[in-house]
Amino acid sequence: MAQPDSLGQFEQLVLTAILALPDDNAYGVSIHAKVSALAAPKSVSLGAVYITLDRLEDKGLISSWRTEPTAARGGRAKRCYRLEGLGQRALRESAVTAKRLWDAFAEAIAEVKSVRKPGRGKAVT
Amino acid sequence: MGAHPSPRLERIAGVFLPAAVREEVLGDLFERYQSPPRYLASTLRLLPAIFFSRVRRTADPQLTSIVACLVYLSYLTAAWLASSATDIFRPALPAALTILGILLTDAYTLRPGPVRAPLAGAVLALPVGGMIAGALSLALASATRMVLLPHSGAPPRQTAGGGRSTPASVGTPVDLSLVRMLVAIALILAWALLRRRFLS
Repeated sequence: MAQPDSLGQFEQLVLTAILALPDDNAYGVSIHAKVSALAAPKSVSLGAVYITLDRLEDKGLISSWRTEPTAARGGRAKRCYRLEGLGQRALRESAVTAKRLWDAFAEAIAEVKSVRKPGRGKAVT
Repeated sequence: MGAHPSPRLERIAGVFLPAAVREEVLGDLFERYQSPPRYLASTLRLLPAIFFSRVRRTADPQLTSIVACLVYLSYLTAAWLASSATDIFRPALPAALTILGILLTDAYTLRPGPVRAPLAGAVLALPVGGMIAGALSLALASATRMVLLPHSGAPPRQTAGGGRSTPASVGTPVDLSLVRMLVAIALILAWALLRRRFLS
């Protein structure tokens, strides 16, 4: 089984956006809107989303297809994206790592608090 | 019903967009349309990202390096033939312009061919490179691309859901023995030119 590459933070955002959107509605504009919401208050450019989508597709993490042209888009087609198995695995691994990171962070914060307030938490040695 | 970009505005934006992504990007811009100046500004802001993404997908680093060496040698040889006292750095400018032309043409066409991009590069470098050197670079770059250009006319892949997917990159690997042979030829030519330049 192919091992997924480790993902950058922006790649995680884009993959999460694709996962969160319905299959036939994950295209440039909607993915950009979702990524912007996830990355708030940072602003995200549509160009950065396009570059990342191309790179993720080249890595085999997502696939794309063109829909039929619609009047809502001036008779233009959409390029829709969906997560492939490799992409789902890569995203899951990233989530597990993020969870571990968060646990370690929370533990470290708790220790710092206990050092500052010796009467309540762990004893200071 | 919201405002829409005029067909003329879309045609102007379409000129700047590579053919491979024009349809979906124009559709996305249509949905985000607010006013003509904002539409054009959005298009211009998107261009660098789209261009670099297309170049990353269409340009083969090995092939581009080989073509760059050969194009540089073409301009160096032509300059050396015209005058024996040749600056080895001056041919770098037309060579760089030629490579820029090749990258641009490959990024903007649907199926990169062996001749069209080197021709565009030679034309772009014509004002600084000259006719003879341009013709030599065109011949060498086209011949190299005829031999080494990965097949770009692959049919779209079928995805699991029956959808069509663009081939991830133009993709059969370059034959390394040919690459080595061409690199060797380029090195021998460079060595001969430099030897002649510095020993004469």
